[in-house]
Amino acid sequence: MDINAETETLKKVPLFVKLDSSRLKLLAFTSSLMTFDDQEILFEAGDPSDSAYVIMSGDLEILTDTEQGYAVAGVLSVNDLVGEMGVLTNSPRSATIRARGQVKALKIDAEMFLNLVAENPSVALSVMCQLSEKIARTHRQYEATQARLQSLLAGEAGH
Amino acid sequence: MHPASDSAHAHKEEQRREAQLSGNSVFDTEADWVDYKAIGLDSAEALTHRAIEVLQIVDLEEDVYRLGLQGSIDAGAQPELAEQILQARTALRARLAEKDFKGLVESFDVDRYNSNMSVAENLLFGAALDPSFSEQQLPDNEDVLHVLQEFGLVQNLVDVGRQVATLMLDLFTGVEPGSPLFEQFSFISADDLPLFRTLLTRTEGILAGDLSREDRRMLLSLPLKLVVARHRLGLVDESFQERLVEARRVLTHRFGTLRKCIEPFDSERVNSAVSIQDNILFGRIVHGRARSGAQVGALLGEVVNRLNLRSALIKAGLDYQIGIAGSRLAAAQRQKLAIARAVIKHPYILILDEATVALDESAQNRIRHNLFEEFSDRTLIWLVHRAELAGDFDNIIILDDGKVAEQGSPANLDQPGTLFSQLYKRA
Repeated sequence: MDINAETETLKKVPLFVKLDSSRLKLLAFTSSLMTFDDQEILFEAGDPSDSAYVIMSGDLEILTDTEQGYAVAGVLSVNDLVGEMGVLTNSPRSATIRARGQVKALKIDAEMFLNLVAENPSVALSVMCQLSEKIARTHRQYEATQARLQSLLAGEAGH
Repeated sequence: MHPASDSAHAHKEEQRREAQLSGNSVFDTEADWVDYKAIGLDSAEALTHRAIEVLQIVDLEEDVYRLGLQGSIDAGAQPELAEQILQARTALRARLAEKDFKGLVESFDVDRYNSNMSVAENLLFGAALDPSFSEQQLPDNEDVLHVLQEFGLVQNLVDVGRQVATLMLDLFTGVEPGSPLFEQFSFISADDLPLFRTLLTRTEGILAGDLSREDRRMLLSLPLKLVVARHRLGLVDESFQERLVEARRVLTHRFGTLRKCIEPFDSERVNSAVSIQDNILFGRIVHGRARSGAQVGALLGEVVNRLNLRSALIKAGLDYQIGIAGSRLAAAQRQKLAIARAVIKHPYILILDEATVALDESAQNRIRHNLFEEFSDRTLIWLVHRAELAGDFDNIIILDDGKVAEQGSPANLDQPGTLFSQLYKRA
């Protein structure tokens, strides 16, 4: 895989859709193409968010730590962007990410990623939309949980 | 008397006379001025041994070991160490062949192109002994260009140089001139971008043989920096790589074996012109594997310990040039070294005034613990600004506004109503 193929993949990432080619090429050139073996951990929950990844080939599993050990909470595949939220909010990784089969991913340095957002209004806007969506989703989940909790409490009080 | 030492003696005598006449000190500046007895030792060797102990006390031993890995050895002067390094190379190679570690290091192999080394490194396949064979001067080295020409490589390299220049202009033209991206990633500095732009238009369609020396040098300098595995530009394909390896064989023979301008990598010998780490790894840590550096570092450490090479590496690290006032060390390393310098003098009283502020908490605790042990029969006075750090000491003095406000053992001071307990609580 060379830089041109990588640039083509980056074009398919929703966040980067509006960036021009030379900008994407620079992003590819300043990133590292990493290879991960099956079951290899990309990063663990709580690790510092030093980079974001774009999947070039293969699948990644999002793992959540439960009392019974790891559980797969979701799967990411080609063209997906991983780990960008931690970079944007400068907070530790919120989940553990593991390779399912062999995976190639472009590792974008945190500083490079933040520069990209800062210098490109279209990327910044896109990030804002994604974050808002996430907040809305979390809020809906919160309300649903609240409602469920209320009904449970009401049920208990009834006994 | 030997004539050489005779003239050396005369030279010293003359220096002494000159110093006397000009009113300077007449003592020999090159003599061993260390007062070994004052620090309870009897020789330079004992001092080195003690220095390593002190490095452990101040938590600096691992750092110096790493600096040692970057140092070099004189294989001729230290044949035993050279032999051990070769053993370490063999032992590490065996570990790297195991399933879990396969592919972490790409070995130096005279018959194969190494995709984790630059084109220049692949051509030289060793260290330049003559500066005109250094990576920077290679594009100007007529001897090397002559060999490249024999393999028809100059035209290829110039073509790739043009492609690299075009790409760099494309990538970096919009980037701020002061951006760190230039230093980290660009093959062309911000200042040189316009030069290359005009160069490309001026030399379009001109064959390598017809270029001016300067234009040729500029274009050749770019492809020499390419590291296939890192840059992933797809500009150095397999047939190109094969011809570079063929040219390497001729270069190694002509300028390594016959003329000693290069010291080539040799799987049977230690190379005194490259780092000890390069000698043991005998290859490059691959790009694009997460934690490859850490994994290889751990294997290296394991092999070094198994072969009892660690103290030799620390000794090599002790020769590291730290720069003016330690400018080539990190702030934490400088602070640790300053403590080491005080400890090795074996003082009866050591006073440390906020001497560990540049260190993280765990390093501070380790050093305090080690110094307590080291100074168990001597006096250690430690000035701290956080009361909880004072709890382990025999005697605490609290200063307030330049006066002694409280004094006593921790048990005495840790009572309700004392200043100490208030400070402790606040922390």
